[in-house]
Amino acid sequence: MEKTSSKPVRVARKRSATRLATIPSPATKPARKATKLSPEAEETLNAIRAGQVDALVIRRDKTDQLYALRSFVEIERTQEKLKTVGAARRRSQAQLKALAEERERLMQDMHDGCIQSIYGARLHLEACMRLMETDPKKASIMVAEATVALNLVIQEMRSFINGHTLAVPTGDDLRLQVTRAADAAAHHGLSFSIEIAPEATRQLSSEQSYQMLQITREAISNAVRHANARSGIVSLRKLRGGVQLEVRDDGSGFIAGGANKLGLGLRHIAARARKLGGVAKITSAPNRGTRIVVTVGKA
Amino acid sequence: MSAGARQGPPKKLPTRGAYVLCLYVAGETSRSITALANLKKICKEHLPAGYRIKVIDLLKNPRLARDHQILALPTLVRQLPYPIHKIIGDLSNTERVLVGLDIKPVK
Repeated sequence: MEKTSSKPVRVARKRSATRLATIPSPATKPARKATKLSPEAEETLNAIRAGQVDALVIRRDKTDQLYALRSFVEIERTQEKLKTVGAARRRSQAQLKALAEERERLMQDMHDGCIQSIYGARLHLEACMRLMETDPKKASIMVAEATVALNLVIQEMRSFINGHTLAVPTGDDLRLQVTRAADAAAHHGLSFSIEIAPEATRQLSSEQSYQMLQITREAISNAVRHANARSGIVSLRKLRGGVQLEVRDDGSGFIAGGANKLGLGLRHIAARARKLGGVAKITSAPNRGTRIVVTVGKA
Repeated sequence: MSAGARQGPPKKLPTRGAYVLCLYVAGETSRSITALANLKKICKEHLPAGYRIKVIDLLKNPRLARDHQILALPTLVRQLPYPIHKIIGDLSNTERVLVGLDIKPVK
């Protein structure tokens, strides 16, 4: 019994040893051999190269019943057609890609720009409704602010129609726009402190300023709409090799579960940061508020 | 140039040692005309024992390519004597044709 059972084991060991011995290491693996052509195929190729062939015989099916000729002129024409079709396809793919990018940009700008401005106007008007009976004077100020916000929306919409983004000058204007967004939030009981370093705004190009403003507006809007926050901070500071924007609130927060679980607004924030060659870090936890940090290099 | 056109001396069956050559072409192109002219010249000069040339136009019936498994045109097939030999092109290189037809030994 022992004898019969030991034999197969020995054989198996022997086989596995053989297998191990024959497996080539990647370094010694021989290069793939070129396909060797039959003498007739070789001669056909030589004749084609010498320009002595009129046509090729194409066998259309495996039953040897259908044959057709393809003249070389026809083959060359087909190749030219294929090249043209390929080039057209590549062109249309590039156009589609450009259209998709443009659509994405418009979506971002509409979401973070126009919608936030309209939302700001709505906040003003809601505050105005509350104040109409108790403080009509302040209510009229709020209406005026809402009008300013709506004028900004009209300006932004005109920019989109004309196909260019709204230029936001660097420096104090950025501070002004951020303050305006924070003021709108203040009407809903959310107080933001703003710390914008002038040397940081000077580092930003017009495009970077615009993107930073949209990120800030989106973050403030989220704090008002979703987080039920009471206070927050917007800070823009200069780093050694760039600028860092931080928007923090003390709201309800959320469970941060990866980029694919982020809402549209937060995805746009990340996309805008990437567009600037920077990175957005979003940290949040339930009842621990939300912190958005966007770091971009020097313009 | 019609399919099965006979060239050369005999109208009867080829005699022993005579060559039966099939020239497959795709219509009357300059290459096929050149190939036939070259073939006639070579046969006249080097095949005194007799020969028969069949011109097969695959443009009229592509299925005939099956008989000798033709890939490209023009192609000359030495049908007799056995074994079958094929030469692809316009037969402008006489040396190559003579070697291909086994009239001249390979150097």
